[in-house]
Amino acid sequence: MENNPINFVDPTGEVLVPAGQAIKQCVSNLRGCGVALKKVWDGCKWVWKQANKNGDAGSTKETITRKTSGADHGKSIQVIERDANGNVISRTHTVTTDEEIVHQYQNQIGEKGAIRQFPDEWTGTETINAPYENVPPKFRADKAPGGRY
Amino acid sequence: MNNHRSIADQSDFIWYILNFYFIKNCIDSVIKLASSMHDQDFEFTQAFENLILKLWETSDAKYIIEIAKEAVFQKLFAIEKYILTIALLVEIREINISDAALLLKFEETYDYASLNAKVKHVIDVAWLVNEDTKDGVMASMDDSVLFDALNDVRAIYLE
Repeated sequence: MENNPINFVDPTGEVLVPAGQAIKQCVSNLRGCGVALKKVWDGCKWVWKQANKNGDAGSTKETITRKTSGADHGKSIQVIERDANGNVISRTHTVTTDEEIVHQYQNQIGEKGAIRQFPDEWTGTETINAPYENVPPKFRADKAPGGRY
Repeated sequence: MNNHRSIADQSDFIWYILNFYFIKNCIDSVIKLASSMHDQDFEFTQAFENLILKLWETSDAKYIIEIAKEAVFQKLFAIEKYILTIALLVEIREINISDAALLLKFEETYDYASLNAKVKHVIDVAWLVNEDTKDGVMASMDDSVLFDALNDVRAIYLE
C-alpha cells in the first residue's frame, strides 16, 4: 500500500487520493460534460429542424442565373427561398467553375432583416470560400409620410 | 391631371412631373404643373424648389432628368416608384448599370412580399449582381440581367 502508484499514501500512512479513482472520476466528469454538450447541440439541431419543418410548409424556391460566365468561367446563381407568405427566408449564392462549386454560402433572413449564416449541417448547404458575415436585425422607425421607406 | 389640388405632398407632385414626361410623354403638362408649384398647400425642399423653378423658367427637359435623379438620390418615393425611376433613368443612360446596382441594394426590412413580381425580380437580381461584384465573380455590366429586369418594370408602366 505504501507509495503505491495507484493509491498514494503520505508518510503518516493516510491515504491521500486514490489516483486511479481520481483519474477515473475526472474522465467520468469530462465525459459527463461532453454528453451534456452533445445533448445541447442535438437540442439546437432539433429546434432548427422543427422550425424549418414548420417553415417549409408552402415555401418555394426560385433560381436566378447570371446570363454570362465570369472571367474565370464561373457561373453564378442565386437560390431564393420564400415562405408561404412570399417573404424571402434565405438567399444562397453559388459560383461553379467546370461544374465544381468554388464559392457558396447561404444567408438566412429574419423577420426584422437580420442576416445569419448558420452551421452547414443545420442548413444542409456547404459553405465554400465565403467569409462569415452576420448582420444584426434593424428596428426602423414607422414609415414616414410621403412614401419614404 | 388638371386638378392639381389632389396632389398630396412633394413626392406626389414630383411623381406627376415624372409621370407626365416619361410615361405620358407630355412636356406641356409638366410645365403647367411646374407653374402651379406656388399654389400647392405644402412646401418644397430647397433642391426640388430650385429645379422646378428652373424647369418652369426654361421649359428645358434636362431639369426633369435632374428632378428624377434628385428623387432617386433622396429616396423620395416608395420602393416601387423608386425602382421605376431608376429603370427610366437607366433606359435613357442617365444612370449606368453599375450605379443602378448600388442604388438597388436594399436592407431586408421592407415589405417584400407585397411588391409587384417584376419589382421583386429587380431586387433579387440586384442582390445577385452586387454579390458577384463583391466576390469578384463578375461586374454588374458583364451581362444584361439587371438591365432586362429593369426594362420589365419600365414596361409595366408604359403598357
